Amino acid sequence: MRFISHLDIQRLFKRLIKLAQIPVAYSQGFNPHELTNIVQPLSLGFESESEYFEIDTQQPIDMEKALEGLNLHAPMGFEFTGIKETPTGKRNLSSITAYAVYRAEIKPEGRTPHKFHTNDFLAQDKIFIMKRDKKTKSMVEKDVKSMVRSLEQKDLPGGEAFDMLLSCASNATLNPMNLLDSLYLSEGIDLNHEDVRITRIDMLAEKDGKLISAFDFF
Amino acid sequence: MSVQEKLDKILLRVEKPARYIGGEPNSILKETDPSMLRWAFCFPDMYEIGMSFLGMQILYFALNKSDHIYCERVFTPAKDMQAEMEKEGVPLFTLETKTPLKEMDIVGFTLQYELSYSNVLLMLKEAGIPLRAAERTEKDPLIVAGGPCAFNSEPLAEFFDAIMVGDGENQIIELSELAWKRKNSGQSKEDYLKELVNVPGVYVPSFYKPIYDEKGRFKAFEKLYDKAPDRVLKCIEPDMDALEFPTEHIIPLMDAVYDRATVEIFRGCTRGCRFCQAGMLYRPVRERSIDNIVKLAKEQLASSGHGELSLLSLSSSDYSQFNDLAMTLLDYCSAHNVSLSLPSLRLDNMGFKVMDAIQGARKTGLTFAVEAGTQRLRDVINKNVWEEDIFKALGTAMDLGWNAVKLYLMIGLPTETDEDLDGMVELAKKIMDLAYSKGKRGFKVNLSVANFVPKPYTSFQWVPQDTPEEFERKHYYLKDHVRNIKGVTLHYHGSYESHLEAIFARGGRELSKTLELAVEKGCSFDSWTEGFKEDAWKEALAESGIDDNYYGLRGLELDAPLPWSVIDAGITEEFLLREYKKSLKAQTTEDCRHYCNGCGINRYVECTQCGVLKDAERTYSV
Repeated sequence: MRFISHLDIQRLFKRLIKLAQIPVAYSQGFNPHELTNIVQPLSLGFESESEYFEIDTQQPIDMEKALEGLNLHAPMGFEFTGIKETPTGKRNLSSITAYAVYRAEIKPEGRTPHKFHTNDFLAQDKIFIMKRDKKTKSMVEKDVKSMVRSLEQKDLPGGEAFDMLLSCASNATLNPMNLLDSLYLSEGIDLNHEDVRITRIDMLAEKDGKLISAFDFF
Repeated sequence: MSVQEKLDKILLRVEKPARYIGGEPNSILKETDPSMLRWAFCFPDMYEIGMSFLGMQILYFALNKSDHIYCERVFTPAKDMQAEMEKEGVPLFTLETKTPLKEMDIVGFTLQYELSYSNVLLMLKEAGIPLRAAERTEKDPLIVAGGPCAFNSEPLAEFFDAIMVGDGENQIIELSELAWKRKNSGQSKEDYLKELVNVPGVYVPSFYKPIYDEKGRFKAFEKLYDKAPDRVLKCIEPDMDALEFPTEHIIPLMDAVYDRATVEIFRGCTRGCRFCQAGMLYRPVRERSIDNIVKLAKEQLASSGHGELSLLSLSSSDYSQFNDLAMTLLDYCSAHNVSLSLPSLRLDNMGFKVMDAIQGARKTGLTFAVEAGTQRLRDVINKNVWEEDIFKALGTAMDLGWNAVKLYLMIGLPTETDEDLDGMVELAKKIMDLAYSKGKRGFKVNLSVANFVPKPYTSFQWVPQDTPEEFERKHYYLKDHVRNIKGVTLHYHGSYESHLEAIFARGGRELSKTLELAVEKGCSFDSWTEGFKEDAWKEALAESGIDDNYYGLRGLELDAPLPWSVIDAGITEEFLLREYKKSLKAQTTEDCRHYCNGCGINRYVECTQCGVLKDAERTYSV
């Protein structure tokens, strides 16, 4: 399912809501549309163990039934793992998520696995990544040091694996692929993206000075 | 590396990878076993086009109802995907189980339009299956086809083992059951094909050999198997309510062209427009009952979660209980936040009431199929639409708040002169005048001009087509004349594409060589502007010795043997000829609900709409 784009997932979820007979609220206007929100959309090609999806309903609903309904129709590879009511009028999920946990696995073709000096990499004053500028479309350097909470290499037979904790908020989001590019380049390796599989493990929110799963925030 | 592992890499490199992954809700995954009949249903175009096609959904579910048949889907990979598959050595595979087509038992194509023929060959090539039926062995899959172009499949006949003509719901099951029996009994392909001739509407091309005269013109068929019928009568299903109609449609995971619930309300058309092939091929009119339509619509919406419901037919408001149906569905849809779309509505008072209710404050998309610019030419083509009706309807539309109208027009119709083109311009001008008189300054008229293509089984099957140059002259003529009318825009189709369409629509088996050459030269996706390679097609025609002027532009003699005559569409040649002769005198023919015009279809099946309206008020359809 990692090949389904964000827009297509949006459309799919709207379908599933209808199928699950959840009384979704609609926007006003000539083209009323369902009030739903996918929190911090995942890049095409990434997998995820934990995504968040918000639905505004017209009235309180039977949550167990809704969850069952969504799962009944969900295509292979999608599972709705939990459902929770958020207080109305409160900040929505997009605004509370601050970080995301990622796992990257690299099975390099044509070179032997490498042990990276992640501590040296992280100890730099600035960590630059190359990013496409949205306006000019050219590649520009950007310092992302403040957006990297942690980066650790793990063991993976025949490959390289990393656990990462990176900014994932509405005002600051770091794509793990960009960070890996930068890390690999710092040791002279051109990372082939086709060798990489990235999974988002969870999204975290800050509460009382601690990072907790966004699911537990409300 | 397995196909799946290779795909994981390839899919990261191509545009819209969701086209190739399958796994959509309601798609079918079966546990396979070696005795099962494995079917690959191929739509020779892109995923998003094919997934909008209702016929595929109908037949997919009809086949998959059986435990011992497993039908999967295949679409034409886009050019970027083709290149990646070739590089990695991945043969064309099915969406459901990623099985190479070569390992399937039946590979079936739906032939919806002539310009998809090159994709058929391309897909066989990508699958590594020999193109010509004669070159395939007992081990290769059976290659079959169906769809409207199956009525003249001669240009493709060399590539297919069997062709299904007419209503497919039961016919495809019969063909498949026999194939399953063959698979599990070791029957030879030849014996299987001999048995197939007993299935209604099945044409086995290898049992017929075309004979040509000394000038290379088609003369007759020589039958190579005496038990094969002289002419293959299309399969006719008399009762729509008895047919399978799926309610759990596959939900595409990416944007398809039409992403909506669809119920076919009737098949056929009684209006008899002389250029229209569908109006002849699908005779007689057979309606689905209103209760059944409503039931199917509700079930489909409940199982697919679609936000839009559309009714399918050649002319929605000709449904005998249209008002009841429209009102029932409108109520249901508005209560369930579903929008209703009713294509080809008749714009009488009822039509407007429905349209107004459907669209509410949003007045988009009003289209009038007027087809020709003058009444004389509309009479020639038997498009029973009159200018005063058009303006009456337009006036109402403007008063109700519509701000734009699209007119479907055709150039190159028989007997057309530049006066008829002037008529189109005049019509657009008058519409703008009407808009101004109503104070609608921003009103827009969009002229959508198609090039006339003579098609088999129509009253115009004998007439010549305009040359591409003549089409272009007419395009420029229209362009020049509408340029100075404010608010009018003009769109038209490629001329050479229409020329090619005419060649293949009325061509014979000699074109199989042309197709092979064209595909070798890289032709595919001919109906996509960016895919069409005019020069490659010209080379292919020249190298295969086809005089495209003869094929596209020929006016056939009225008694000339027709290569498609091996198929019997149920209507008689006398009827078509009678209609053609009337057309030359600009005489119109009535809708068959008023009066039986003797097309001949009632020799085979009861014609329930025959004469039902008698002398009731004549209606027009735009």
